[in-house]
Amino acid sequence: MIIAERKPVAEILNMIEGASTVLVAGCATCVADCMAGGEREVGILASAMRIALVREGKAVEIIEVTVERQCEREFIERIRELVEKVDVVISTACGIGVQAMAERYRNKPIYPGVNTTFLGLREEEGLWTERCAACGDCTLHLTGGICPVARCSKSLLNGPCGGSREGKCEVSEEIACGWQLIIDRLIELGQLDRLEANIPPKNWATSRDGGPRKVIKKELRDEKRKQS
Amino acid sequence: MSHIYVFACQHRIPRDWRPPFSPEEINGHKVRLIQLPCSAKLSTVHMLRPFEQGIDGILVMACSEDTCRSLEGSRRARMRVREANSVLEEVGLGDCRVMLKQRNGSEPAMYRDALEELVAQTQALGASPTRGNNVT
Ligand code: SF4
Ligand code: SF4
Repeated sequence: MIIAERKPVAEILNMIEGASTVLVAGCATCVADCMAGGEREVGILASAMRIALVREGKAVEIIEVTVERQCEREFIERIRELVEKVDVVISTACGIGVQAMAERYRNKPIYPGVNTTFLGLREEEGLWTERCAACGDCTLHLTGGICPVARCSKSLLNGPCGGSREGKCEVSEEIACGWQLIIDRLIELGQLDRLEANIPPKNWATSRDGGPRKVIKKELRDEKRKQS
Repeated sequence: MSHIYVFACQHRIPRDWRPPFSPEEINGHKVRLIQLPCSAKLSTVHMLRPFEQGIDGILVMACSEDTCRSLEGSRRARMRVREANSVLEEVGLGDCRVMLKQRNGSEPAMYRDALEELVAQTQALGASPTRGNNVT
């Protein structure tokens, strides 16, 4: 899922400077799972904003709403009435949700309430870690199901480097060496021989280097119908 | 007069204090006692909302973690109290306006002592900066 973290309240208050009604709009999917921007966090953020605004002697009305998924037009259309009545929307969805809202509500400032951080999973209670960098050319079958792009600090495709020490990455004692994890898993799978195969350079055009990306499924596109 | 909300697990409320017989004043402090089926029911936002209205502090009375009848309830309450305090600190209200006591008893004296401790803590921070915002 997409992992995010709430922005500091002070930064959010700066964004809404001058507004007299604000909608805090959450998303009940990824950002709810990582406890950054779901219904629960919308409640916390809205309450924190109200307390901070009262302290500053400002009268701002903060309204709360959470939709199932902000990255889908059908869901965000349902809150049109609320969006239209406020001056500013703080979206606690990921950057995709914020942009989906901005595309739908063109005359309304939609500002981000969270920092969208990475694609990952919940590892333990209160701990989320990165798993995939969306490189667009997945090679997990070659690396024991562990991603060298996201989990090796240098994104080495043929590792480890000389800095790997007792399972830790040279970048920090806190980081597991991604390549040590790959080797351990290949041993578990009885596939250690895969380490001898040189993984060729990736075509990074499928990643960010090729500009904004698109996925097109031709068979699902109806040329006769104008797409919105 | 400090204004304190008390959230208490039903197993920790003194028998004579169960709603609707809950005291409205303890040791000269205005209190509002809210009975919970378990401290697990207490969400972070339940602890923040009353501060919008200008209360001074919150006392949470939970069971000790190893006797919680919902197993995880009191532990979760501990995490949420920590979260509430960290949000309050972020907005300038200090990090100790919400106090958790995990105990096995349910005597009024336990409440009186905890309230005194909490009030001393909140008074050291000064009156709640949201005071006067229509406490209900
Ligand atoms: S190889 Fe690319 S697509 Fe596969 S997990 Fe790693 S970053 Fe994601
Ligand atoms: S020590 Fe391991 S994780 Fe760190 S850069 Fe080298 S190979 Fe990558």
